[in-house]
Amino acid sequence: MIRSERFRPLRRRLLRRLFWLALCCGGLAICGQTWLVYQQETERFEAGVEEIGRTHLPLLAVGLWDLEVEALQQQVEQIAARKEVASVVLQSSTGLLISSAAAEQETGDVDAVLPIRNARSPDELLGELRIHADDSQLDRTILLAAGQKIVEVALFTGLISLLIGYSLHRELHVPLKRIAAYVARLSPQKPAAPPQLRRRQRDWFDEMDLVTRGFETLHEGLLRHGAERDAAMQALAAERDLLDSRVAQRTQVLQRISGYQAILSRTLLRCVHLRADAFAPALQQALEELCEFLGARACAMAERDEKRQWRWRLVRGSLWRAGEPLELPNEQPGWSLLDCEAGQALVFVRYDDVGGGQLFVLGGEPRAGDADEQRYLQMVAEMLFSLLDRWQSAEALEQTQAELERLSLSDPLTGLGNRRHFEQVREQECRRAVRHGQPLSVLMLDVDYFKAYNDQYGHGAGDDCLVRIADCIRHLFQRAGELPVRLGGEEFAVILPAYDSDLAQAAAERVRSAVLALQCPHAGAPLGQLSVSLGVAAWTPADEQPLDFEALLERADRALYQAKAGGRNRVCVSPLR
Amino acid sequence: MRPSVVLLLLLIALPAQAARVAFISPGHADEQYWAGAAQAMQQAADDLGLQLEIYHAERDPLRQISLVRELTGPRRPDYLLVAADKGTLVEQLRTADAAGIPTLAVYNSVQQSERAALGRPRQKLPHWLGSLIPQAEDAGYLSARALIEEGLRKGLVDPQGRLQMIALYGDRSTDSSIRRNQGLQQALQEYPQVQLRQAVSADWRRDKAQLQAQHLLRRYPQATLVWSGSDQLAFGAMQAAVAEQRVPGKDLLFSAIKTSDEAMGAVLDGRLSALAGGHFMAGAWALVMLHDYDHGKDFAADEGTELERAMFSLFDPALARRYLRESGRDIDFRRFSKVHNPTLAQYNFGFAAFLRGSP
Repeated sequence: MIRSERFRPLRRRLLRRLFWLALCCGGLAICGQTWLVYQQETERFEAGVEEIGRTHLPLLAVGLWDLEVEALQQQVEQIAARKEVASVVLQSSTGLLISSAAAEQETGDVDAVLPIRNARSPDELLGELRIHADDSQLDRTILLAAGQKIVEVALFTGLISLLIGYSLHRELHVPLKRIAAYVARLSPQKPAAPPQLRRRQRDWFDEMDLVTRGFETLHEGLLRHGAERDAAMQALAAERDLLDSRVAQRTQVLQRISGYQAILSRTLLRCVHLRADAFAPALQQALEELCEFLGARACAMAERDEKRQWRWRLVRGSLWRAGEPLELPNEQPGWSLLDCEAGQALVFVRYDDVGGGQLFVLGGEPRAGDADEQRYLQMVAEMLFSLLDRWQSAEALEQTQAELERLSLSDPLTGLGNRRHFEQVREQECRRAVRHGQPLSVLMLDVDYFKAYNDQYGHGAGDDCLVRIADCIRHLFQRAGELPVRLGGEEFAVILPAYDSDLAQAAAERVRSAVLALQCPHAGAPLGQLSVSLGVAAWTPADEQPLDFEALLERADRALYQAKAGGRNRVCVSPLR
Repeated sequence: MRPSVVLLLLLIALPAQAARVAFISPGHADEQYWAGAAQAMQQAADDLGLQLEIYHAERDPLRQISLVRELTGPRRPDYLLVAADKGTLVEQLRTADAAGIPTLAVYNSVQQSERAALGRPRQKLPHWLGSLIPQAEDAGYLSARALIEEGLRKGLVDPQGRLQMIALYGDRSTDSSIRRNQGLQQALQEYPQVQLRQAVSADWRRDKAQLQAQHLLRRYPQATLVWSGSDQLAFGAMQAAVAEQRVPGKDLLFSAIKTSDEAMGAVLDGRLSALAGGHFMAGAWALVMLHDYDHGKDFAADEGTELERAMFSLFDPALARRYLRESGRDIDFRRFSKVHNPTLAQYNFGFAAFLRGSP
């Protein structure tokens, strides 16, 4: 497994190993040599000691016996002068100590001890000779031998290394490098010349030739493989292009679908909770988006009214105008291509079962060739038709709602506001009066002797009478905010915003006058005709108390009572508290 | 050499017929023995009317020979006295004889090995007049005997009843030394109860004698007698003995051969049990012989050419005291001359006689 980019030639590695091997062998040889030399030196030393014993000992014995110190010293020096001896110490049994010059102080181990006996009586020990071997001599000899061995091994190793290095270089390194260069050039595309190893002509072949042949075979295989791969690549590219176009096509379709979906959902979302009056701009926007998305020149919707007449309802573009009638050449439900105005138009028509219908038309060069496209367009048309339906429903609903509201707040007999309406409005008016700092007044009206009228003329005449009075009041109070209501029976009230006490009294007076001007006969009344009594109460911001409508009403009621008590057909104003 | 030159200048004033005698000493000028010898010789020369020149070879044997060679030149003396040691006698005598200088060998005589080369005096070498040597055996014998007697007296015997002795020879080659040793042997033969355990050569050196004595005393702890060839050897041995916890004169007895103030002192204080001396006078006696020869009285006629005379005396404390007292006294050497004393039949060179002042 190669982990580094460092190139280390085989030759160098082999030589390095050879070097280490030689080093080990050399080391072993040196050790062996050293051991041999050590043995030899030891033997030599022992032989030397033996010789000393032979030659010097008798003389030493004589010298010791005769106590000839100089002679002994001379002998000792002679012994010490021997090559294998470092120093000598002679000690007599009587304590005489003679040492060679080199052994001023006796140190280290004694390598040999020779006893010196008296020549006359061998039992008598005269002294002993202690010999110290010359280790430096041993060291020198060992060093010399080791050096010699090192030189030998180094020379031998050097020669072998040179030989091997040269052989490796010529037989392995150079051809392998050429082969490597050749292999580096190999490629499945182009043919390469076989490697030129520049080896001499010979009638044999070796591993290098085998490797070369192997690479040539490999190259052929590579070329073959390259050709096959090129073919496969081309096929694959064609396949890929095809796939691309399909994908593009599909993507286009998907985009179209998603575009349709976007418009559909957007429009639907926009129109889910629309009030009737907001449908027109929403649908107009939908038409514009559609026009843009479909690339149509114009886009419009029409409805057939109850007279089976088609009329443009919504239009985009300048081809048609909203509200104008149009003629359909043939009335086929579903969709059709029509030659419409300036050019072709795509028309979607739906009829309902009661003779109504809707129409959706796209002007310009519409694309309707694709079945899917037609389906999507149809979906859009259906949606638009549904929205048109929904628009109609919304309009109808809102009308119904307004009617219902009107009915719930008005008195069915007189058409004036009822008590509920009065209750709803009075709070609003109170808040408004306080906010704007305007006065607020209330009129309370009661028909005089109405029970008697009813008893005399019947309930039908009573109701007519009430309707006439109500019309009177309605006629008098038509400004915004002025609200006349029938509280019940023959009792009416009017809220008068911005009316102070005087204005309210004047208004009340106009009411009394108007009713009296009706000249409606009432036999049961002292006047002989129908009259009303009115109580007025007013609140102005100048009053130092807050506006309390209940209190105001009570005051008006009390004024009314006062008017009744005062003789009827009159107006009483509640005094300011 | 320098003092001799001074002497030479002094002697110029003497009568012209005074014979010139040159003496070649083997030792140093300040060596006690040779200084004493020179002093005695000078005294004798003065008494006898001889002109004496003394040359010192400074213990160099070759110098002894070269001095003789020098004296064959302009400073040629009428007579030559040589105290040849270390085997230089043959060469010295031959050189002197070739120059025709009458020569007398003194202190040391011809050894057996030299006899063939030299022959007898006045034969092979006609100018070799003869020789005078002290009877050296006497010194060994006298001192040994006195030592043994003292040992016996003090009863310093070993368990076997023997007296154990060790000996320090001067050397084994010089004639006088050999003879002293022979004197010791002679004494030992007379006393069989004395056992000489070992004799070693100390080369006349006090330090060597000290070292040898130290180890011999260890080797033979029962030895009680120490015989020495000279006083210096004895003193060296004494030092060793003291170091070995022995008491000289008490449990260990010493003998010596010498005539010196120090030795006499040692005798007096008891450290030396026996002392023999007097041989240093040989040079002075030789001058007496040369004086007589010069005046026509040849010693060869009635005493032979090779004289060996007893010169040693044993110094007991009394004699030692006397020597110390008398040593500066002026003794007239003419009394020992046959020329001046025609009745004298034989030379008497004994030291006791000298101290007495008459032959």
